[in-house]
Amino acid sequence: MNDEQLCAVYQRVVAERTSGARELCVTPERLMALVAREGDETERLATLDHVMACRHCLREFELLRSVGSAAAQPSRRVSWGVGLAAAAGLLLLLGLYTTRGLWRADAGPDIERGARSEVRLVAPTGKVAGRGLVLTWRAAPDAARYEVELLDAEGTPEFTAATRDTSVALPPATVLTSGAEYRWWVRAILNDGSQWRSVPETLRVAR
Amino acid sequence: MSRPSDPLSPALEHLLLRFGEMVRRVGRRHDLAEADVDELIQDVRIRLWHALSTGEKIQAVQASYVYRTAMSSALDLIRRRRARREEELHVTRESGEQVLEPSITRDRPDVRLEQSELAEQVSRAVDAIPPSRRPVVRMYLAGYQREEIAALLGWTEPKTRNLLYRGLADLREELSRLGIGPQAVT
Repeated sequence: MNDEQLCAVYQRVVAERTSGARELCVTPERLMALVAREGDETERLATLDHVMACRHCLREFELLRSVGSAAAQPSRRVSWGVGLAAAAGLLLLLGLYTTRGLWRADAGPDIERGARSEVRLVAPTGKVAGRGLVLTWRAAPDAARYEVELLDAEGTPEFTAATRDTSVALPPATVLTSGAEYRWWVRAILNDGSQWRSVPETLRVAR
Repeated sequence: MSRPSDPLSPALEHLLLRFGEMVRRVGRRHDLAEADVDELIQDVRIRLWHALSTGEKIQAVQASYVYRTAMSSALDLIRRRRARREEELHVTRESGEQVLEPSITRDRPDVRLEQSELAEQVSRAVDAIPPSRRPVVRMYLAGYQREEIAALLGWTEPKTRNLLYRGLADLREELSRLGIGPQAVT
């Protein structure tokens, strides 16, 4: 049996497993601790071991996990003007998520989808000033964070940043060479670990 | 319950709907039930109506508050369902027969006996994996990607991969011991 077949059999086992009362199930609080990565790891592993073998707990776990992950996603603009507050709130939300990186892509992404560009650069483009640039792009669906690179003509990174926001300002100390050409691009790391890349944008610094 | 009449309510409603969509999108890969999300969003809506009774409060509400409310609602939803389920389990039919879950009231075809045996053996083989690696293997077999496992447990990708591969090796070894080789068909 290959992995796929093993998964199919296992999922059937869990789906068809019947149980009456749920005395042996983990408590909702332990489910929450698992999702929030709170408490002792041994206990969380024990919780996970049960959850992944119990279709009832699995359904509950998935609800909590999805809510937590969705809440932790970068905020798009909120129409009544709390976009920035929301973004800050997302970082504060269940601090456990943010500080411990529930959705953080610690893992090296396996999939890079470069063919389609789901990350669109907004500004700057074309001719720019040598300082005070703010790089802005459109939010990518399901993006957990973005990695930004500004490269000089040789391909050497002049500026790199990782952010959950859809814009980043170059620090005042970063001054681009007058008349030189640069390229910048953004890579979105999605919640499932895959990535989207923008098409690089070329900039020429005004003399 | 009447909805507070406030010009900003549509914005709040929009945020709620959008949040619901995000939850659905995250959970879609793992078959998160639509009904769960619907019930959750409705519960959040009601909580917000209760908590933010005035226009001023609605104006001041932040998305983070809505999201915190959603987590709290999700937890309470789970508690309520469990309590309801406990009640249901005590209900018996007029005949005195215990009410059974739908999945076991359906007859399983005899032809599936072989598959059931295979499933049983896989289940036993998973149980035999050392506890330190078993949860990771279960999560993988349940359909979660390595990255999701690493994120949930706060592990690095190499650690996750190492434990998963070793756990899967344990599983295959146990399956071989049970006489289930690569040729086994699901």
